[in-house]
Amino acid sequence: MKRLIAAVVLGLAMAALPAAAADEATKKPAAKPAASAKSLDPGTGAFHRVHTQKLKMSCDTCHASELKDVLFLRGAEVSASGPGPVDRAVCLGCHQAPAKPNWYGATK
Amino acid sequence: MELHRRSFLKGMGALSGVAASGVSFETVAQAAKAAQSAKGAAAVPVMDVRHVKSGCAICPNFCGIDATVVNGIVRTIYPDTARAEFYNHGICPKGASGMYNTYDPYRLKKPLKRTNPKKGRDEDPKWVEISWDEAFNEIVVRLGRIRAENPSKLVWQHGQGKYLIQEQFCEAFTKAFGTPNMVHRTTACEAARHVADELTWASAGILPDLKYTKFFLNCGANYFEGEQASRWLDWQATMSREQNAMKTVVVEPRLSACAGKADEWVPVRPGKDVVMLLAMAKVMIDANTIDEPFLVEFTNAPQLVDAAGIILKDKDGKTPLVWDTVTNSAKPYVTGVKPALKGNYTVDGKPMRTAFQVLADSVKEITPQYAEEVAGIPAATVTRLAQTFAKEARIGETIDIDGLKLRYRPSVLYTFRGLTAKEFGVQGWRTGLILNMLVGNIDAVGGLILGGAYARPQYFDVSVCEYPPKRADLAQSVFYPYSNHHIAQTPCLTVQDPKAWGLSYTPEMQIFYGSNRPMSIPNSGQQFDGLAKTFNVVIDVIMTESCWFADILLPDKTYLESWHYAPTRSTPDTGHNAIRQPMTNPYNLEWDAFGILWEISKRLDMRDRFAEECNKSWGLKEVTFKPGRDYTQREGVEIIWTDKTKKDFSVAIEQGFVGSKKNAKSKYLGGAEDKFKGPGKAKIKLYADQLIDTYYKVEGIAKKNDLTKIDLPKYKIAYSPLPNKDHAFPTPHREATGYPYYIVTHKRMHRNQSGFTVNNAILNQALGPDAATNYVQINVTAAAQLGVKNGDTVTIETRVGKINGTAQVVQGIRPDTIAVSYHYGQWSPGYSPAGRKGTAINQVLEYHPDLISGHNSFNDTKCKVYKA
Amino acid sequence: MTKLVRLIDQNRCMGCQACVSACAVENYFTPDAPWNVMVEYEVGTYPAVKRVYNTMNCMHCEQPSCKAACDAVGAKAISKNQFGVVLVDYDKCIGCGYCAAVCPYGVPQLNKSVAELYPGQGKSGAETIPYKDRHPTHRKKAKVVEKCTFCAHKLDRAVTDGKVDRIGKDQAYTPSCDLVCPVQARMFGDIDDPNSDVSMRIKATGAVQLKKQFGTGPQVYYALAEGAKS
Repeated sequence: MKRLIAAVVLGLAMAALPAAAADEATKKPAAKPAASAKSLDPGTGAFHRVHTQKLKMSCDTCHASELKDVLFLRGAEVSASGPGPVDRAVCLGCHQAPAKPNWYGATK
Repeated sequence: MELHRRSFLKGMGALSGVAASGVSFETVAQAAKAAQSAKGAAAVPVMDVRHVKSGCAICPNFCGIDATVVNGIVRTIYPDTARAEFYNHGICPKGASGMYNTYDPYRLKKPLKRTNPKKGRDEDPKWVEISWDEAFNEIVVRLGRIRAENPSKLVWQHGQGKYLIQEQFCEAFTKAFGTPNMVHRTTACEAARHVADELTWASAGILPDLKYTKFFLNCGANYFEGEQASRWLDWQATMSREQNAMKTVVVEPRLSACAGKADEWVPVRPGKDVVMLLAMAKVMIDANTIDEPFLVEFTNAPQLVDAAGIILKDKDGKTPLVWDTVTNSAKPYVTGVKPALKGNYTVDGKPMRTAFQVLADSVKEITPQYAEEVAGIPAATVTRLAQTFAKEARIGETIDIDGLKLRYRPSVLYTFRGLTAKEFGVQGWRTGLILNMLVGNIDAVGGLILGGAYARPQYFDVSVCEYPPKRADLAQSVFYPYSNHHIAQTPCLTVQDPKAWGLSYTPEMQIFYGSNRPMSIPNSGQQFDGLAKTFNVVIDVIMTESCWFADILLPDKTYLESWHYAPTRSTPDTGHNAIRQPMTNPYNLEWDAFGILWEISKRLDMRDRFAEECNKSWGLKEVTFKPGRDYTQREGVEIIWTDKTKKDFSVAIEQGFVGSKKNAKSKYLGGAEDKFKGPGKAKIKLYADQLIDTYYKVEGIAKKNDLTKIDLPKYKIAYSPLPNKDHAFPTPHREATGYPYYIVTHKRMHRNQSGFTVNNAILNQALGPDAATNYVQINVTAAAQLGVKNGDTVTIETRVGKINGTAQVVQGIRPDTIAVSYHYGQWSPGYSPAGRKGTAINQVLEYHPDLISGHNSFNDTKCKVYKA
Repeated sequence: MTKLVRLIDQNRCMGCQACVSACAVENYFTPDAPWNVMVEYEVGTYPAVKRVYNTMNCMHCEQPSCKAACDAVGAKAISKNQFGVVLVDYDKCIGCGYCAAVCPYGVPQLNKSVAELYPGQGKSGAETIPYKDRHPTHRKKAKVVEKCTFCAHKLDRAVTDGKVDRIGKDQAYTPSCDLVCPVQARMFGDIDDPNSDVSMRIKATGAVQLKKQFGTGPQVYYALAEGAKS
């Protein structure tokens, strides 16, 4: 429950930040990409920076000790590393239409 | 084989390049066309693309394959779609990636000679590369001497090699050489099932008629993970379940892939299936839900048995007598006689029972409650299964197929190794056969289809019980009287002390062809001790553990590099003849096993004799090997193909096979109906009386020769004419007190026939970590009690030794049982590092071969398990 | 229109992984980046247990989250064409991994290196085929993302050969994973054609897409086994 509330609150906060970057990137496709190969680096990458520094999310908001969702192609890979895997259902709390950035289309 | 040059890559990438913007097919097609006609299109490489119809040889399914060869490299292997109506619809992961058994940098590429005379797991053989000429010379010098002294001192062993050039060539070579010692591997697999069949219906080769089956009681057959006939069984079982509403119940301690997809899993306690099935027999007999006419007309159930268990014979001393209900007297079963199935009778003042009555009496105490106690299956389940098995058999019904009115018994019990890879393996499958007989499903529609009923009547006779044994494997000797399929494991034991077995010679040299024998045998350390005693030549593709004990190593070609007249699997409805043809040779290998045998024969000056024996072993009639000339591998295959199929060899090259279909008449009326039904015919042996006669013969020979290797009380238990509860208590169950867990072993899809796939990078890497190693499966409840978690290293301790493995905590296994697959834990330094993972469970299994068939016991050992 | 979809029938699948193996061979498998993976799990508790096999490959979503993320970061390396194939352009991919981070199915794989099948032993078999002779999707690169392409090289061939109608039927034009299955648990074809085998079988089996809550519209359907997760 605690995690759910955090996700909802952060979802509201996220509506402005990365979406603006995304829109910008969409307008200028030839421009330098807004991410790099280092984007997912724990702690330093943009992906983590957005979530942990700008959105002040704690690690365990996203990362669990084990992946409960077995329907995940890279299941073996993610469970072996770092602070634990991320269940994409957590992402769904924020990144679903109509909220932006919207990775997950319209719920059917 | 289709050979053409194709602009394989012309326009290639047009779609993926253009498609990025999300355009239509038409646009893509135009773009591709433009790319083809544009200047510089000629610069796009034009590649050789060949499609080759051939056969897989990785396991004994021999699937038809359709390989695509691009610029000489085997790019893909798909199933041959034309083969689907005769055998395989798909292929397994091994077959699909089979080219990486060939494209394996760890392969043997040159003949090697050992320079360190010491042999051991930790002894570096100190190989030196030698020329083929030198290798042949080394071998022929020894063979020549042995042949002059005593040819029996050569032991030829093959495993998977049997399925490459085929056993007929091996047989021809050993016969030409003069040794009786040709040994193949079936006692490491399913030999006990074949022997049980042979004792019961005088031939072997059963399959369930799944196309029509309604109730499939599978006692441990594992066709979803790997065994003979898998690629037909898996497809047909799946389709029948879907299209014919077939229900499947799987009886085995571990939730195999078959059990995991079945309608019901019955987790029987290891080794106790015999008691469960006998309890089912009791339920069926008590309820009289049995096919009496079948039992009377087809089987020896009505034959009269005396108090000593011997079948009463007519004055000729041969013809069995039955109780004739017309005349109320003992008579041979001839026309006019109506035999009684049940009952006690007196003949010449002596008490007699029908064989069926003996069975009925013997199961009186084996109640479902007793089965629950012994086998760990609720009594209600045992009763329900018996009732369902009988009900679904539709006893008395017939069905019309192709205008024939046929017995319809769509309920069948089937096994492969589940009932047989045990100390009492023959009795295990005899129990299954008896249940099938009780419902009369033998050669009935939807039942158990026999392959060649009564083809070998000699198996109904008392065994020869040869002593002293001629063969180093002791096959058909007094030690293993009905080991009709050789005994894979014994040469490496007898060689250590030949006199103890009465062997009149000491084997000096062993040739292993496509066999990694020791790794496949329980208590494998004993096997390696034997290997250290002989001069060994190994013909193989990769550096197996057997190679590590070799003196001379000869690299073989793979099935993608050579010509084979290929073995095939038939189904109840189809058969086919096939070849394999070479399509690549990345290491430019010169010889394959056929060529090696031919060259050795030539150098031994026995070439023409070998050719003559080839004609005999292959049964060639019109097109034959001729004396006075050599044959290439292709020429040899062409001879056999032409003689067997009467088709031009171009058909073999183009299509890879020719298939045939059986009609209903030959399928259902050509076997048991023809050979066993009615008066005056041989009978299916519900009661295997030849076992009693053989026991007494063994007893006589053993006593006369003071054979300490024969433990008569054990033979007496093994040689019972009917299975009984003793057969659910193999040696470790009785003796290994203090070892609380049962061990069951099993095959796995990804390494089945591991000698050829152990280095395969696709199997070891692409299929994920679970396929590259094996695990010790432990039930969640047991694991909690043991304090073991998933991934923990655990020790398995048996009376043989200890070994470690990685725990996999699962729901799908009995709490009193652990399961470990074969094919892993290889240690040969010649393998790729990826091939040397997991636990070699055979190292710690107890060795108690079946005393009838010589089959190894893989599922009887008990153990302790604890966190390492 | 032609919309290519795959059906995976869990009631038939026996978990052999022939599809995984065939994919790896066909698509120049590199150890860091498998395109097709078998997920296996038990359902129930002893002794009432069953086993579910759920092969996972790219779902080729109608609204792919990977593409949304890739576009958002400006790389625009991921495309989706009109018959539904989602492809990664290795030359445009910057290896940021956003696609991997957002895919609900864990499909995109960041290929850390193009490792040899037999490390330290040189190239073997198809590895020796030079890049110029390979389809662009088979020109593997380190530090870019790759994933299942529905065997785009075969679909390309179908288009250039004018054999789009043979997709899902002929070996040359059908993804390899769908060709090898011993129990015919896989099927590939055009869902926009209501009479195609795949359409009819999806209907007959009541097959569903996985994780519909993500709203990405997968083009892979599963006939679910009893107790299977979706």
